[in-house]
Amino acid sequence: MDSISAEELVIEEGKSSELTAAFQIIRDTTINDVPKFGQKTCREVARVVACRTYAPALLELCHLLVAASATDRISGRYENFFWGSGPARPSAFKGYLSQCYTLPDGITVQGAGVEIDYGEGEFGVTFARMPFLSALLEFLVTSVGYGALDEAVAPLLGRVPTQEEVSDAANGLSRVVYDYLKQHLPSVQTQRKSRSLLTFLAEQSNGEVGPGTLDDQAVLDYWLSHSADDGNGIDAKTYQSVFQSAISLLRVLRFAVERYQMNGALPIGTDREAGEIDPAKIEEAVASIDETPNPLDVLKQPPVDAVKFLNGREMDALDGVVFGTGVANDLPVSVLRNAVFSRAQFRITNTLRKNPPAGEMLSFIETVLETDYPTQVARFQSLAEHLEKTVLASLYALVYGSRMEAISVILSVLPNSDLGDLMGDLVGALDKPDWEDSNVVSLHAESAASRFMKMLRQGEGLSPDLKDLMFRAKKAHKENSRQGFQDHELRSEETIDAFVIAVDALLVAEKELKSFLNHPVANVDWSRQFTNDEIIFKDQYRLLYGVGHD
Amino acid sequence: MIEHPLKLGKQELEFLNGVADSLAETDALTSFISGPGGKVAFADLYAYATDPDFLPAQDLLNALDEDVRLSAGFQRLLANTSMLYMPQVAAASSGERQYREADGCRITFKESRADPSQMFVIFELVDKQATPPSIMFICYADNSCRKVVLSDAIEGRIQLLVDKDSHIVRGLSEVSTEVYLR
Repeated sequence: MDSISAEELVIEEGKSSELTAAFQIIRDTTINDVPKFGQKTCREVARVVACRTYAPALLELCHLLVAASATDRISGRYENFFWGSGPARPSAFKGYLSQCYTLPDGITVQGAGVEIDYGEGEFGVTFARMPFLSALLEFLVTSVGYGALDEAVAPLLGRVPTQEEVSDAANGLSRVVYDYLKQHLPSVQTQRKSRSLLTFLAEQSNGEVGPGTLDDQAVLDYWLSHSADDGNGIDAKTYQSVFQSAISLLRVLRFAVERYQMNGALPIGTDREAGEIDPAKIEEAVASIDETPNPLDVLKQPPVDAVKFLNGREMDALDGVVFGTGVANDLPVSVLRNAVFSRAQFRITNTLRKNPPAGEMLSFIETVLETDYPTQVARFQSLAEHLEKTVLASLYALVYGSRMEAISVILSVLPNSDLGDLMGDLVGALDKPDWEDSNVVSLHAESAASRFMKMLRQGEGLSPDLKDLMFRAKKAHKENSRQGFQDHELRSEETIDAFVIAVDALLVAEKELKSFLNHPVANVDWSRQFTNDEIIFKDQYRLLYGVGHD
Repeated sequence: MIEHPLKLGKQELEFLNGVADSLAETDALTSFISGPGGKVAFADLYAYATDPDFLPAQDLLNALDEDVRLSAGFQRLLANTSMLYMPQVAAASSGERQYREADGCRITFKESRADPSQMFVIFELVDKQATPPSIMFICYADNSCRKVVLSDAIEGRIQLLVDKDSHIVRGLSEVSTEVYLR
């Protein structure tokens, strides 16, 4: 195994933070208080960077730059297309291009996108693809800088270039990005945490690996056997970092098993015999695993963060248990170990910075724990109750704002409720065939929906279970005094919009946490488990941070 | 839970390692970090360069003062998006002068009769029908730039009444400055 020093590791982490800051800026960029890029778009760009599969996307971007610069016949510049067209949405780019009546010969706006005819061939960019390419451009100006980007694409502006010129510019840009990432993306050599954990699992089980192989014992064994290793390039010192790697790896192994079941093989690529792994196949796999966003990410960003659905402490706790359907359920003890012992390890490393005498450090390790498993389980249970009440309070907000999304929340909270009679008119109106006058249909639907919302608000004409639900929703809202939950704040459309976006994420988080608490957690004797683990973890802390260790 | 384990060959192991590493890196790149990330959003730079009503955060102005690459990129952006550009005055000229000109515009100074401590800066535009500029950037030899929001043009003429000693008069009089109008 190649060796890498601790000092080099620190440098590598510094590289990552520079890139993370660039992505933070892209994610936080707003236009008229609206995020310029969606969360999914930002992750797509991060993925092509992390997988180093940015070259085809840069070629697409160069084609789009040709079209963008053609939108300004006088200056031949592309900037206004990307930074003067509002939030990066397909409709915004479509609207911008549709208003350009004097595009040069060879560039045409069509129903689904823009087409560039180079004479020797054509290239089309769809409106749906433009937000991603715009975010990629934002990444370029934030990372390599506007000067380097503009220099590389200068030959493409002000006229329709040849395809070869577009290709040359894209290659030039690829080289600039490659050089930048060489300095700022941790090298493959240091991206070895997951690599090492998977190899460890394969070694433990004679090469037979699956989600079931990665269990609580394997995670603990890996930490115990690797946390004291220095200078091997694997940052496994903290239990938290090992736990996070295990969660990532579990998602990867679930994907692998599903693909095997579907295709009888992993989608490695076509050149198996040459022993090469196609990076595009790696990116495809990451995209597939990444398809469902983490609900907590939705709650952390604008406009949802304007409403205090969860405080920092609650968000931190959920970050350690909500990873996607069933993932936490596969590692229940590890989730509790992370919640209790990672915090303790963090306190130890913090104290270590003050260089206490060895005896003092050992005493600190003895008293470092702030909580135990039964207490932590109780915290998770109280968090689940808070999520349940927050969903109900959100339902009240949706009904107050007459938002139709309230209906799907009702169906999630009361799956057996019969809304048939109440919504009869509405369903009938929406079900009318396409050939009927669409205005008549929407008036039917609107009127039925508004009647239904009024009934929900007034609590009249409802079945007993629905009446009770609305009573609880109102109570939950009144009892919540956090930012965004005051009655007067519900008059703001923006606040109601935040509830609309957040409520699905809250429902997913609630369902996941309750599933975790109802199934694996309910089957463990947590007091006994804690007594055993306390001995193991304190022994390891003494090994890592006791006399003679930094 | 999917229980069936997979028999992984070297290549499969390598593939899954690559997927796990890339997933972890994607997570790391998009992780939420608290506090400012120390970078400037290009959207803000663009708005500062092109929108007369945009109020820049102090962080943006500081970054332009301190980050050489950023300020060089910003000047390139000004050059690319401005309608008129006045280069440095020829080296033979002395340190100060009373007018600046470019194709399409001439800037002159005229002392105020009402208040001798003030001065009119007058922009005369050649094309009186074209959309007049609304922003001026004066860029100094050290790459720093100052933004000036212009008043409305009347028949191709824009007038600013400023202190004689203001950075506008000093900047425009200085032969080593470059001026961008947009």
